[in-house]
This record gives sequence, C-alpha cells and structure tokens, in this order.
Amino acid sequence: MTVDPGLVAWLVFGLLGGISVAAAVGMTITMSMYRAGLALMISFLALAGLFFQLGADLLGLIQVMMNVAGMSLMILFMVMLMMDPGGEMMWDMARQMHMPGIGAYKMGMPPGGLTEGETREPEAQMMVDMAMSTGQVRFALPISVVSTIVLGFIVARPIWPTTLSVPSREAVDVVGELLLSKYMIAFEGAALLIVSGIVAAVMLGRRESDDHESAQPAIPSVLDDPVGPEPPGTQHRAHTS
Amino acid sequence: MNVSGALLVISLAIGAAATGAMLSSWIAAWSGLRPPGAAATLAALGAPFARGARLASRPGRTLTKPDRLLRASGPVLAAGAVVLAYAVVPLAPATIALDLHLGLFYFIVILGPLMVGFMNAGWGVNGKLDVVATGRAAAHIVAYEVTFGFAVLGGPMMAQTLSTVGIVEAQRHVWFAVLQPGSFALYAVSALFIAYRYPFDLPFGGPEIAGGVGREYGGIERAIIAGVRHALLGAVAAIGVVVFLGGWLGPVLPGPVWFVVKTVLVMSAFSALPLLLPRLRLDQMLALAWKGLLPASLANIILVGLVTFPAAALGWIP
Repeated sequence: MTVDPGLVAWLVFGLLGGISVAAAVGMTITMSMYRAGLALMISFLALAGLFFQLGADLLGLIQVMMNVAGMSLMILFMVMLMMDPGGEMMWDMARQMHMPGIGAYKMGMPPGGLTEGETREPEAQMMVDMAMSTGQVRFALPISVVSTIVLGFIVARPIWPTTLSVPSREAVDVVGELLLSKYMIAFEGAALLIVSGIVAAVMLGRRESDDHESAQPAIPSVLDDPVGPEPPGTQHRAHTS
Repeated sequence: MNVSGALLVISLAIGAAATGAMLSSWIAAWSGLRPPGAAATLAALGAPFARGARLASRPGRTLTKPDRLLRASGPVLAAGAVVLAYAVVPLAPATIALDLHLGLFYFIVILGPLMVGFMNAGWGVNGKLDVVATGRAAAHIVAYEVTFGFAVLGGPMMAQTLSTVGIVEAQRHVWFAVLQPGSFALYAVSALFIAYRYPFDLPFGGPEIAGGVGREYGGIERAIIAGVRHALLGAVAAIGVVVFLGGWLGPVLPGPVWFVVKTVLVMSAFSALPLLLPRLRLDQMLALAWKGLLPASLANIILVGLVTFPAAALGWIP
C-alpha cells in the first residue's frame, strides 16, 4: 500500500495549522495567565513545525528556541507581577478557568461592568480583578474578526510563487554569509539596539552603592518570599466598598 | 528516525538515568566519614531499581486545586525532551539516531521544552513553594541557554560544522579540550547549570523550598522526574564528550566503549566535584551567569576566532 506524499503533506499542514489556530484561540479564552503564555508558546511551536515541513530546519529550530525561552520569560514576568500568582486567592484553577465570558454568566455575573446599586459576591469581584479578558471580550472579538478578514485578503490576494528546487548548501552557511554581506548594516544595527537595551536595563537595575542605607527598600518579589502575600479577601473587600 | 534509532535513543536515556542513580548512590555512600564496605558498594548497583521502585510505589498527595492538565504534562514533556536530546549523541560514526547538520544547535534547542515540563510540574500544583520553584525554573532557562550555547560554540568554530559526527571527526589529532581549555571550563560550569546539579539546583533546591519542582508527585511520575534529572546529566556530559573530549576516538577499545567510558567519567566528575562548593542563592547564581559567564564566553568566542582564523588560513585545521 502506498501513501500519496502530497496527501500526507496536506494532512501535516492541516494538523500543524489547526494546532496553531486552536492554541491561539485557547490563549484568548483561558483564565490562567500561565496557560495563556503556554498556549502562545504552543501556537508558535506549531509554526516551527511548518518551517520544518518546508525544509527550513534552521528557521524552525530558531523559532523553537526563541519562543520557548521567550514565552518562559514572559510567564516568569507575569508570575512576578501578578497580584497573587497561585496562592490561596488564585481562582479555582480546575473549575472556572475556561471561557471567562460564559463562566461569568454561569456565576450570575454580567461580563461587563456593574450597574448602579448592584452588589457582587467577593469571589466574583476577585474573578473580575484577576481575569485578563472578562470585561474585554466584547472589544477583543470584533478586533480579532476584522483583523482575520484583513489578513485573509492579504493571503488570498497575490499569486504565491512556488518552486520545486531545494537548497544546495547548508542553510547555516548561506544565512551566515548573507548576514555578514548583504544584510550587514541591519545585522550590526540590531546588535547596537540590543546593546543599548542591555545598557538601559543595567542602568535601571543598578543599585545605588553610596547611599545604600537611606535608599528605599526594594519592592519584595513574590519569588523571594516563601511566606506569600497577605491573607485573602482583605484587599478586595476594601476595593469593592 | 527509524525504529532502531528510536530504540537506541530510548536505551541511551534509560541507561544514563540508571547510571546517574548509581553514581549518586555511590557518592552518597562515599561522602560519609567512614568509607563503606564492599557490601554497600555492591548494593549501589541495585540502587536505580530500588530507588525507582520506592519512588514509584509512593502514593501521591491529594491537592486541593491543582491544574491537572499542566501537572500531568510536566513529566511527559520533560521525559520526551530528554529522550529527544539523545537523538544527536553519536556513539560511533554510524551509531547515531539523527545525524543532523544542525546537531549541536538542535541539542541546545531541545532542552528548552524540558525546562517547560519542569515549570508545568511546579505550576500545576497551585502551591506557594511550587510557584517559587516555577519562577526559579524560568529564571534558570535564560541564564544557561545563552551561556551554554556560547561555551560549546568553540567546537563548531574549529570543526567548521554543527554536526555532532563532524565535530568528533575534526578532533582526530587533538581534542578540543586541549586546544580550548577556556571553552571547556565554561562548558563545565554551564553544564552544571543546564543539568541542575548541586550548586545550581535551585528549582529543586533542597530544604528551603521543600524539594521544589516535582515534590508533590507520587508514583511513576515521581520516578520519571528523578530519572529525567539523571538522564539530563548524561546527555549534557555526552555532548561535552562530543565537543571537547573526542567522542568515540581512542586507542585499542572500540568506539562506543570509549564514548561510554568518557561520558560516565564526566558524569562522575559533575556529580562529585561540585559537592566541595557551597550552594548559591538565586541572585548569586544569576549574577554569576549574567555578569561572569556570559562576558567570559563572549570573550572566549573572540579568542577562539582569533586563533582559528590564522590556523585555518595556514591549513593546520580543516
């Protein structure tokens, strides 16, 4: 029994594209910031799979490396900056993590803002405070629909050139030569940009050594604090009243 | 990758995990005040099975609000990534699962998903100490990925290829550890980072966060997490043997034997020698990575380039 290679290619393409789109949708509708970052990572990894399918090994591997490290970093910063990254105040991860809009309705809570005189359970208030998108779904949906249509036009418009030829040399050699000949200005410019970014980060993160005693105490990071934030409820009740 | 390649990769990973467990058992026995007797030394041979069975039979804890999907994905992702990392480890010129022309780069890249597996294992518990461990794991990946990549880059620069087989072939006359002692030293430190060995094992960090990532697992998942850490040490040691210690090259004995002997020696050194060092805090570890190792590895790349270019022009190296 022989399998048509064209059919296999279409199946792989459809699978990877489907994973990419499904993970992107999952990113927008999950309640968990960690899961959102992870979904974005999966979406980009599926794109890396498309690169591999096209025979662009180097691009695919770079895509994997950049997005795994980059999204992990993004998750790290979200964990550091989140009000309560997974302590007792964390919304029940198993129960209400999907579909903020529908989940909100299920709790008898309008997905938008409160009207005058309406009260809300502290739990529900917490959910609104911590959700990324509960109040934003009504904006996000039209924007995503419009951008999908525009992107669809862009994809459908030109006649895409196709070729059956394969690269004759290793991609690393070719990319290396191009970076140091044709695209040298852009390459060095990017290096300059990164250096200035590093210098700025160092300047921002530098500790004042001369007046160390009188300096403001550093903002305590959640990662350094094994005891965790203050007990649940206190800030939120104060916020609602 | 065909069936024999897959079998090779899986058996390499399991063998490295068993060797790592045996080594750690031996080192624990020999680091006491009194040297153990012959019986205890022999008993360490059964350590992988005993430890694995003990971990696998231990019941897991019932958690209040775990993220079940992420929690279950942790050991699977970690084990899958470490097994895939062995695909570019060449036991001999033809005994390799995937002889990619980007082999070394592939190895560095494939360890990223492993890290994500550890992060998921920590985050899925939904507990405070596990969040601390997750954050440390995420800080870990960026600290080592660049440094490790730059440290092992010296080999490909001299060999003029990223293929693991090609890098070993280029060391037929002299090992790169001899030509590039600086690269080798940088590799040794960043390999401890990448394998979460003792001074840098902060995501798993000892008593301060109660065992860190994976502490709440029970049963076979716990055993998998422990095995992945040993297999990871083996993979990093094997890549070090490929890039710096001449891979399978050696007199008299056949190639795969030489490769295994060198890898086990490097694994032993990585397990035993760091015990002489104090454990670092997270900020000290990150400062070492970003302020010490990263500039040093960049300087090392320039140095290797300055040496390699005239040597290649004169035809001393391929």
